[in-house]
Amino acid sequence: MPVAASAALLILVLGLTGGSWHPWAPHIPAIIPAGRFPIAVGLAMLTISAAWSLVRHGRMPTAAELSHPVVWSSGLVALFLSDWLLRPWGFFPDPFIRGQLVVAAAIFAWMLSTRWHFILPAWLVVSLCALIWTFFAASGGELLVSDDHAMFLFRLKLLKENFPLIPFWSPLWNAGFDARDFFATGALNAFLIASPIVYLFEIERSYNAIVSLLLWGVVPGASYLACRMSGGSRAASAAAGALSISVSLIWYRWALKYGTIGFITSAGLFPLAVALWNRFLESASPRWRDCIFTAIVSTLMFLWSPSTLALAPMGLFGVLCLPRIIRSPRHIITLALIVALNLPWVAIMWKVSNVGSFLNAEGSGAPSAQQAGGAPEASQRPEPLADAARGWTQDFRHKTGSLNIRRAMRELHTQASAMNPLLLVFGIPALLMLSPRRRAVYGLLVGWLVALGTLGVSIKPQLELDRMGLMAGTALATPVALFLAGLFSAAGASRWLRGAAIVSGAFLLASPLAASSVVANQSSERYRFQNEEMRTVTRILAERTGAGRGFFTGCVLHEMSGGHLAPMALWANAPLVASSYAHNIWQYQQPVPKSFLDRGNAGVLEYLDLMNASVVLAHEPTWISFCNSLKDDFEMIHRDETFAVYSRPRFKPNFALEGSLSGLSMATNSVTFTPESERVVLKFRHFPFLASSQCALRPIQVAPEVALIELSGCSVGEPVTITSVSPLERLLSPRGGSR
Amino acid sequence: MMRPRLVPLLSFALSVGLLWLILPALEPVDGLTPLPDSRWQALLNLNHNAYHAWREDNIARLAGRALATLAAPPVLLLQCVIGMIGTLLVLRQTSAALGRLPALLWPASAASLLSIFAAVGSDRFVVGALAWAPLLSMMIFALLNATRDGQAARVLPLWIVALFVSVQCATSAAQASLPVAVGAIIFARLALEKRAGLRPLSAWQALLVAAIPLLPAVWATAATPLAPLPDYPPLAHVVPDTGESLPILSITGPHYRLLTIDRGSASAAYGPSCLVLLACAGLLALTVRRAGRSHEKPLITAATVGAVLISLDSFLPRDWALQAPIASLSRILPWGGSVSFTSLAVGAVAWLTTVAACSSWRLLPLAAAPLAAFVLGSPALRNPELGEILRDAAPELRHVLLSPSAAVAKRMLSIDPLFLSRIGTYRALSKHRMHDVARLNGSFTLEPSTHEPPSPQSSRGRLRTYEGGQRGGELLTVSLPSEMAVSGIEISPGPFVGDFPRGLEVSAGACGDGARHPVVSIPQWQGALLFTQKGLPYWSEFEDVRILFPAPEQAQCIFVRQTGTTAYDWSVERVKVLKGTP
Repeated sequence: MPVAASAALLILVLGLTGGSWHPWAPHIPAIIPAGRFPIAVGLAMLTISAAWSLVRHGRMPTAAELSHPVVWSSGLVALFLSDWLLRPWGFFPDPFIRGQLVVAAAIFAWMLSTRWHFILPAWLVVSLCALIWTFFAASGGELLVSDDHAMFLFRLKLLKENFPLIPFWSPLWNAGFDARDFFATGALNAFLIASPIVYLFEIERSYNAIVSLLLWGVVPGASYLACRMSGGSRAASAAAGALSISVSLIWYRWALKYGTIGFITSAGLFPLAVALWNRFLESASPRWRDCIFTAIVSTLMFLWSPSTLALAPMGLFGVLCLPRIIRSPRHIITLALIVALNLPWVAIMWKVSNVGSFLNAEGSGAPSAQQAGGAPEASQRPEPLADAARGWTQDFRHKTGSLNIRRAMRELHTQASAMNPLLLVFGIPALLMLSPRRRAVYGLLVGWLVALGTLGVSIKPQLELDRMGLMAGTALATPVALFLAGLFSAAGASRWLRGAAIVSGAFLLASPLAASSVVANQSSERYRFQNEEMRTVTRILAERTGAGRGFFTGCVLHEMSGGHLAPMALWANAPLVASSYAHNIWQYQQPVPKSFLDRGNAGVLEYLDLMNASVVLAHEPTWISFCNSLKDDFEMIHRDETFAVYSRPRFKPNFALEGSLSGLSMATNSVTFTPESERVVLKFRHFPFLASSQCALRPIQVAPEVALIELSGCSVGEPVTITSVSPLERLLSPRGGSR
Repeated sequence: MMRPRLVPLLSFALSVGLLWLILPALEPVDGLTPLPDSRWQALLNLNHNAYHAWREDNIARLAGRALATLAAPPVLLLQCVIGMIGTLLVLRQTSAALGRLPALLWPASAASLLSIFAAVGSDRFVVGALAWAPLLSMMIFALLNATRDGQAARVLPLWIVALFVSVQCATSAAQASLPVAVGAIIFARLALEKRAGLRPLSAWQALLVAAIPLLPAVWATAATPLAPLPDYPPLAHVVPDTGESLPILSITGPHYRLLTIDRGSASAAYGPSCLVLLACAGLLALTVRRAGRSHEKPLITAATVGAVLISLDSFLPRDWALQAPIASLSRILPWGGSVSFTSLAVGAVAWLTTVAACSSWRLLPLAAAPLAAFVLGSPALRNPELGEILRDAAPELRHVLLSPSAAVAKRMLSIDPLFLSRIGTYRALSKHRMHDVARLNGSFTLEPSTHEPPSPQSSRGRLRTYEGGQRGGELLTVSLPSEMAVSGIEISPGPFVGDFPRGLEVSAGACGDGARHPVVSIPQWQGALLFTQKGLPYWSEFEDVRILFPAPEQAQCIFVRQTGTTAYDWSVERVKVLKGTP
């Protein structure tokens, strides 16, 4: 009966996470048609075993009875024999992974007979080296620019020049933008960790190394330390490190494909933060070293702001420990230090990033380059742009929703399929085997994160809370590693335990291998490196923009090497305009505002003049036709796989709309020029937090959607610099907020 | 009477002489193409189509130059001699019986080397990988002993020699250096070391000894370049496949870069060797068990386990063989997609089994191995189809036959024996556009079939086999408006990518019950035959059903009979024909 209690829980977990079950391969008819059947069986078995325990022993089943390692490891055998390993979005991307698991089982059986304590840490080191090598081999020397990686690289370059004076105004994109997303995206944590590399080396040359450092240095290192702090041996900590680099296929989706480095850094530090907070709250007088470490790690984690939500249950335990905390100066000083470290950036973020409107937004409230450019009616649009009508209404994601259990279950199935089977199967027994206090802490944390990652997704999709499922996985790495180490140590006690240890060890050894397949770009999650087209287009922009801007027509998101356009402005050393240079739009959006589009070809040409566009890039057939149809205005100078590049032979670039200027130069955070008239209207968008070094600066509305900078009272011949006011001034001043 | 010192010398000379006699008679199973701006060459194995960068190790090349006047394959001979020296040391360590008959040690070593040729043919990759391995094993064994006895610091020369041997082994083995180094460690640890009375080795000591073979191996693995693949498009394939895994791959994406190893050919080539080795290992195991000789057990166990592993790799059906240990290991290790670890394992097991057999049966393997090498390793029996053609081939054909496209050529030769002479015609035809039968006022029928009207998936509608799946015997009849010369036919399944015919027999002639004559028979459909810019053939996606005829056919009706079986339907959305003669 003790075995039955564990089996009941296992069946329940597999039923909740697995849906229908096919033996061996998906094309073989299902033996369990839906998850509700094992759930029912599991519940019935759990009830019976609880009743039996009550009748026989006068108590509920104990934690040890509910976490029998042999029974739980049979869950891994079930996964091995079912179609689980072949599911399309599974963690093991190789359809023949069973062979590797058998080989791994043989190796682990040998390891158990020798010094597995010594070999496991060595295995972790070898795995990390192999992953880093695989990553660099997959890159072929090219720069990682997949999705947000390009944007993150851009942010690193901006931070290298401007930190700590952030946020600031930058003239590089869209006639000027508010560079403030360092806070919302969590870029600061990775920047701070990688700052020695950032400041010592050129970022383009070191970016791949920075990503490797974070993914296969910081993340496993944090899990290793977390496990050590939780009382784990070196071998157990190595297992935790190995699990942290093989949490889930979705982990690598966010890490390598989407490039959300802020989140990944924060999620990687999460287990360490939990371990530190555990120690901090448990101790009556924590060591100074732990206090400082707690403050630093927590701050680095909080820099990706949703992680505060993830760690919220620790607050509950903090409240329970409040009497002890308020009597301890070290606790108070540490908490004050955390507040002091985080309050400034939180305050600035709250002020400049419209956090409130984002949280309450219908979709993502993140600002885009062309704020007011809605979708005009098709009939109003100039030919041939009217063909783009279908695209205008296309949603990308993030429609708001309400509590939806069905969607939550679907999310649970997706995340469970993609998760490392060790974390899935041993999650519950590992939690049960912790000490009662730790069990409560980790149990509440994991439960909270799973709820956020499933139920929360349907309620607040714009927060992308499905990532909390990954944080649950990283949090589970420590307890599962401790559980596995216990199982391996007990392997000599019986043949069954040895078998369970070998099965679990096989999955543990195979996990980094599976991760290496993903890193080698041999999974359903493909990530991209800079390609020739991006280099060529950048070179053309550098050569041909002259005193103007490059203008990307249509809606550009990932069309260039699968990444965002952001760093191209720096590489080409030319200001650029696009609907979005980053992933901050969630609907199809044109860079040309509605009022200009409504006026047909003339309106579009006028807007290009207004944006000082000397080079125009088109990738949508509609825009290519448009440019080709106006042969006098556009001359094709290059045609690549995706983009066609046009020059504007009849246009003479000039950054002054009215008045005149000379010697205009741009930095990442300012524009400097010499006015040649007392009044100058610049082809730069106005922001309320801009300041001029010598002229009076105010907005001038040149179209319903476009307000440019008007400078008056300038001393002719004396250089003017336009830059944003200091972050402190933006914080304190009512004009500091973003438009 | 002969002086005792002369006996080993004479024995050595005789053994080398035996190798010198046999090796030139063996046709190489591979071909080399120089890589531009590099000391590396692209090696293509004509048996199983492995395609990877390869070069001779420096010592073998230098010594080979010196020996060039004495022997036809000097580098191979030198590698065999190095292998013989290592094998002799192993035999002295493992075989008490041969230890009492020193005159047989060299011939036994030579026999062990020759058994590799018997198993895998004259394969430069395998011989290069295994040449230094026995010596490396002995070095590791000696270092383990010295370290266990607390003498590690006092045997510095031994460490240096071991490191030299290891570097040579890694250089010679190139892509195979890592498995060879691990194999050498396992062999030294399990087969050479006697368990009883061993002093324990600390973890750091073990790590230090392991570093000697592993570090150069890791270095060699990292330093070895990839053989550059020709300009195949992303969805090309060059090794025959069933196409059944396509639905999985279409969801999960391609798992590997272009596969070059033809597993089917590898199984066919190594099947007999595996069978013989399995039988020998089994017999050895039985003999030793009966005789109760415990000191030979580790060696024979290793040989038996190895024989079982290579048999699993060779005899199991493809999908199971890919989950067997050798295939699994080759996926884990670098270069596994282009280097045949199967051939390496077969060679290693052949060596192991012969060493074990020489220990137990003494004279029998000494006679059997050279004979087997001569017979099995010769092209007459191994019959690498392309070897003979390659010898007399024109440069443009050598270009094809020494590329990964060799597998395509091999398969196409079984469909059209004149493929190589017609390759230019095929290339020209593959570029031609075909004409829609409907626009030519022709029609087509599929029996048995059901018609599905246009739908969101298929805007044209389609014919599909109504019985569900393909069972063989389904017939597509294409009627042209009049008799005309036809050079090819395209049968598009539309968007239903799994619904392509698995096998085809095309015939042409008059419509109705008139005379038909066979045109082409393709037992397993691979995709359309296309050519790269440089003229290398490859197959496109399986659903791209474009069949080029070996010669133009004058016909009014074309009959395409499906000959394969699968659970997927055969869908026909559109039929095109290639009119005229090239």
